[in-house]
Amino acid sequence: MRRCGLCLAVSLLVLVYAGVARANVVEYVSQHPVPANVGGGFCYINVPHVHDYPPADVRLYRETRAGYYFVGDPVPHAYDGPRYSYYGPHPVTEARVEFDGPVYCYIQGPHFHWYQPPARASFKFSGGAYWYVGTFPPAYYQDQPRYVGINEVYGPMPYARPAVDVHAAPGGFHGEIVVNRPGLRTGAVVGGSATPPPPMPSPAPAVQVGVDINIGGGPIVVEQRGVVERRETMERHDHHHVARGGGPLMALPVRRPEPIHSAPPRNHHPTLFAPAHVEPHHPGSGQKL
Amino acid sequence: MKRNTQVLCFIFLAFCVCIACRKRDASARNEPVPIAHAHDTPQTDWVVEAWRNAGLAPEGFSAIQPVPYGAATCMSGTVQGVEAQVCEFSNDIALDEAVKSLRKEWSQNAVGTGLTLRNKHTLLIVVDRAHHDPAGKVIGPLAATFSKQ
Repeated sequence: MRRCGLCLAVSLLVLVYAGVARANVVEYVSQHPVPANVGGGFCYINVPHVHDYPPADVRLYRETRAGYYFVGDPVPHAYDGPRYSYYGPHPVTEARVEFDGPVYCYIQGPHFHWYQPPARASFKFSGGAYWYVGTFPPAYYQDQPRYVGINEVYGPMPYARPAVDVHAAPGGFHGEIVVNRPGLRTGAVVGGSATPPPPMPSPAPAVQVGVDINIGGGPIVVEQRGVVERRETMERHDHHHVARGGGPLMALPVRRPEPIHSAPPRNHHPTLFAPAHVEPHHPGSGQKL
Repeated sequence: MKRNTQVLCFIFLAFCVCIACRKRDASARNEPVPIAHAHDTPQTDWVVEAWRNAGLAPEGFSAIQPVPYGAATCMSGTVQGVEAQVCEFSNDIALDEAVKSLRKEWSQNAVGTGLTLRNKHTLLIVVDRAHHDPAGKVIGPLAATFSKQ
């Protein structure tokens, strides 16, 4: 018995020594948030590198052969660099990084990334954001259950998301339309410096949607919004009054023949009108989100 | 005849001793050793100069002797507290071996942040053991400037 205890103690010592001798080296292939327990903030190294700490939440990453790639929205992680507004899921199109296969961002609703989609990719810039209007391959749906959990991270996270006019959703967009809960802030600026003009055919300098919402000309802040969804055979009205404050997102109850994520999408999407009250927002006065 | 040969041998030996002493004196005086740059790849001194021009303030960069990692030449120094080395290699195989050995070393001795980046046959090695640059605000521009060479 005594001998057994001694063996156990020696084994434990060996294990502890092995743990000490092997340093913690974690490979990253992109910029990424720094976990709070090692100081927090954001690491701006955008080439493969190593740290002595693992990611705080692996749901925000894809594991590639070369290391972790951050697929989340960098803005709530103290990121302060170039940013581009997106709406809904889309392929990750950062040209600098080589993936083994297609990688998708499963974030619902408005969010930011540090990369701009390439001109040849199937994105449309509309209502203040890039929307993916291409077709998702089966791999997107197969991987969805595994990666859609990223919305559990960002959903309740209070931060200024890009203000996107969902009524300007282009035809061919297959994701869910998501709006902020009543009493919470949508985000901030549409068309400010946070979203540089896209290289692809962009909307006209100023587009009138509904009665009084302006998109594309000068930056504007959406203060209050009413949403009307109109379908071919049914008509329903949802009114959301949006005030200042950050908060969780919820999906606008868009009625679809079947859940959007359960099968490859159809080229059918609602026509939306947006009678909204907007206030002009002058450049340089609060474009930083 | 035999005596002549002995004298010649003595003179030759004395000559060799003199040469050896002179070389030793030279190395003792830290005379700069001529740098053997590799061909068709960014040179170590160009990289350091580019960092200086980019406002990164490299400090104490000098050639490493003996040259590590099987490289043709290496320079090391610090940039705002971050250790950096730039090495030129004569071929890809030597460079790959160097990267492998560095990764192995890092897996045994922790580095806060480590980076290896290649540009042709030149390798940049950055190590931030003391976490001077946790946000990569120095390391990022170092790497970007190096890549542009």
